[in-house]
Amino acid sequence: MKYTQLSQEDINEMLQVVGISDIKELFKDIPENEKYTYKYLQEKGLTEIELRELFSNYAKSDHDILDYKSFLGGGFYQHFIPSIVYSILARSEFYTAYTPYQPEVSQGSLQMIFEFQSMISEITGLPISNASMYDGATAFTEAFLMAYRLFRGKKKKFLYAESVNPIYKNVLKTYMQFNPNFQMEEIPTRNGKLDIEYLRNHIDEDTAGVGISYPNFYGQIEDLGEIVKIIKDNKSIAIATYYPIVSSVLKTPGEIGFDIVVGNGQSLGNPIYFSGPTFGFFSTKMDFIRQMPGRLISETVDEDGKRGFVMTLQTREQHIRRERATSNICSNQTLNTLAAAVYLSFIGKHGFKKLGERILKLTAYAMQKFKEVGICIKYDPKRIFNEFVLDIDNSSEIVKKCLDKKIIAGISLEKLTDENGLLIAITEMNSTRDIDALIKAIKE
Amino acid sequence: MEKLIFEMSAKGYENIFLPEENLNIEFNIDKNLLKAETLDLPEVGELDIIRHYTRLSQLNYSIDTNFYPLGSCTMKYNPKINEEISAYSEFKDLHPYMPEHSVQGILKVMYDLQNYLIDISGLSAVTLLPSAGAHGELAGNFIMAKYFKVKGEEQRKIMLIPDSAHGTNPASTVMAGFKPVQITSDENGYIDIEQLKPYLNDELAGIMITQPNTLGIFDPNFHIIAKMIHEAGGLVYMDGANMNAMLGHVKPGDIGADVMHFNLHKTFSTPHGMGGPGSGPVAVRDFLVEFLPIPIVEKRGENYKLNYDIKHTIGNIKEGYGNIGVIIRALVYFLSLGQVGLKETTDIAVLNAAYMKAKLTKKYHIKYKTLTKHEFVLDNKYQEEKGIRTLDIAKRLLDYGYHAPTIYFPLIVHEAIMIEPTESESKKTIDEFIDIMLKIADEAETDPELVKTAPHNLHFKRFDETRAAKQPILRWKK
Repeated sequence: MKYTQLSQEDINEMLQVVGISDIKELFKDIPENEKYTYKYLQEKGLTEIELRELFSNYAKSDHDILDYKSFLGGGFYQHFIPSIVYSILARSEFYTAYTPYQPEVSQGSLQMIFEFQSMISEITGLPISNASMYDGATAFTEAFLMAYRLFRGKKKKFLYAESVNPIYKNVLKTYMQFNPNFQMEEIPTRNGKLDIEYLRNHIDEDTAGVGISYPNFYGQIEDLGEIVKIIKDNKSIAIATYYPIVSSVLKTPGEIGFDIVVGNGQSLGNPIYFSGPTFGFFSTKMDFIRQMPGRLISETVDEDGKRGFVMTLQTREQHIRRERATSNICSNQTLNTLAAAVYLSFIGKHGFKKLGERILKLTAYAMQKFKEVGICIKYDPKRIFNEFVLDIDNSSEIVKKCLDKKIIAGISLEKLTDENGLLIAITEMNSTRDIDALIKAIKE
Repeated sequence: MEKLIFEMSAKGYENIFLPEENLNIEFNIDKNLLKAETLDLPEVGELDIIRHYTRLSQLNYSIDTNFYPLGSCTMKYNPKINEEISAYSEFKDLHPYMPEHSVQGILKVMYDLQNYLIDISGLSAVTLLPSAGAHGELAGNFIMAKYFKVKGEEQRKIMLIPDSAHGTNPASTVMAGFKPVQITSDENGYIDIEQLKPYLNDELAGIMITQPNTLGIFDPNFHIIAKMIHEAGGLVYMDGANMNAMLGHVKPGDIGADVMHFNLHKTFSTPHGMGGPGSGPVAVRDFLVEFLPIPIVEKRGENYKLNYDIKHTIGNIKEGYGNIGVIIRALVYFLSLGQVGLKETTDIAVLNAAYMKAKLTKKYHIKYKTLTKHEFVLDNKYQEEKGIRTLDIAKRLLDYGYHAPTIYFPLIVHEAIMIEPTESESKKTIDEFIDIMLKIADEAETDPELVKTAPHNLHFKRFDETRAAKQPILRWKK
């Protein structure tokens, strides 16, 4: 293929204007390199005909896994994506635009992000939301870093629940390991929920923030009200990573009292894509705005008084504040937020509630059917939204067995957490028929 | 003026999307967890949603509609075949916990891209995990920090960063516990080697260099500087944002870089998406491979595997395996161009910039006279006496249907105008842009007010940014 557009005549004319006879002269300052050789890339480019053929072979080798019924969750969930999401995402006026640094010619991007921020604030129950982070795990980490800044580095201890998604905890540890000031402590899990007494006994005046997951990695909803009260009484920052679909029917984390709410936005209109791109959302209170990471879009007016939107409070950001910025984030995941904005517009006020109710009902159905065949569900069945752990100690064998029946039964916790079990997620994409088939396959 | 989607709601309206299913079952959940109110999301029908977002899209300038010469951003054409292939259901509908034998195709995509990036980096291994350039810088800095930690040289904290660097460089390095020290450039726009000398001791962690730098200048002393840093026990990080100027000509590893990141959304044609998603893979020299983040794709026999067993890994840096949708597009780009096409990309990108610079410097001042590569930095010195600021020139360009260049960056040029045409543009487009730039220079002479009050022909005039900063309104409210 060829993506340049100069003819030989153009090139000759341009060389003349530059005052040289060969393009090589433009590289005369590059030290004579040893022969530039390739080990892997082939010499000639492929045509579209060849690329299509090649990549459909790559795609085919991905087995027939898409024909399988899946109950995988663990941070990424299969949800319905309306056709109009893909239709709008395909508009190249959106996807080939850069960061909206020139607001007069970027109102499309800016207004869209403003609408997205509004929808995310509605979902998290907190007044301000940024234009996105890379994913849930990095957003969770940035929340701790923000808590640290809110106390001007005077409080150095962070508590996080063992019941948070293991990858989130790992990312948090990666980011914290090179700052000897940070002191990290894990709150253990008891019966699928964080140990409240442990939290009560280990939170102290040096604790900047406490991070939990709503629902947690085991699908359980923690005793959120009590947790928030303990954190607030201690004047620390309450941080929650959140599965945004929960807001369809359950109380928002903002309503419960969390100060910073983050999460993975994939479930809002984004395909799972083998883990990315997705986006991280990040919401907090107005008082904390100056310590917030990432881009913010604000409403304003132009010289004629017309409503419009601009990037604001950029003095927090790396391109101005450099090493004193609130974060190093520059590129974020804006195109994925467009998917979320279109998705939430379509699902809408009433559809979102119905979606949550459908998921709750399907989950109740699955739990009841498991009970009927004598398979126990771990932990409190009344604190489950859509994900739960089956009490079986041969989870990886069960997963293998179900694959033969074209069912991906869930995530084996064998290598992920201390206790074994099978983590099953239910969404509106699983019918009662699929659930019956899953139970049959496990039981056989 | 386009209404907000919320302002288009018809009370009570809903789209239908859930299939009917007779579920005569009560919720199991504790009723105290349920909320009383329904969220205020839009109540708008499908057609009006389509119209709304289509109209919004039309308020944007984009590569597909306008020439977009943003310096440092490499706004090249985003090939449509990349979009088509990356959207295959067999890629986009895969879950990260699917069994490894069933996702061999996507793992091969990742493995092949790792190898092609190894090819052009001249280094030993690549991680595709970072989500963006800044995330790559961060991963690279973590790798360097871990290297010193394992080596028992944790006192090495000084990270030298030239004053022409991207703001992300100092912002990233502090997050890994390093202390950035700014190095000024000499009169050629090169790193001032004399200034490095006081730091060549056992507190030196390394240097972060953008090559070519943000002036578009290739620093011919890079390998000399690298040697000095290495002899002092430090590491050399190369910011690869400007790799579009080096493909087929020089490999960072061959001139002394130990760690570098790529921006797939700049050099390798993946779209910028209004600010993301990008992808910022990191390449490292052999002795740093054992510090890479997890997981990395490996080939064992005929099978592709996610390897989590890396001796001194810095750990996970994100959920999952990378921005896979972006990674697929970059692989398609590599394959579509091959070695020949990659080199041509750089040759034409540099020629386009050189041609444009030759013509524009007749009416615009340029601070550094040094040879430049894929971009160059002008300023407003000739227009300043008429009271014209760089911002004014930028806004006037919008009037003529061009996106403005990057302005006020790099900081070492007062009132900078940073132009990067890329290899994608035809001579006709470039000539038209040159004509308009020269015309604006004339307008600045003859009718400065016209320029100072631009834009004139757009839906919007200049915005009140002070008001937004003082009284930010960050969400819609009923």
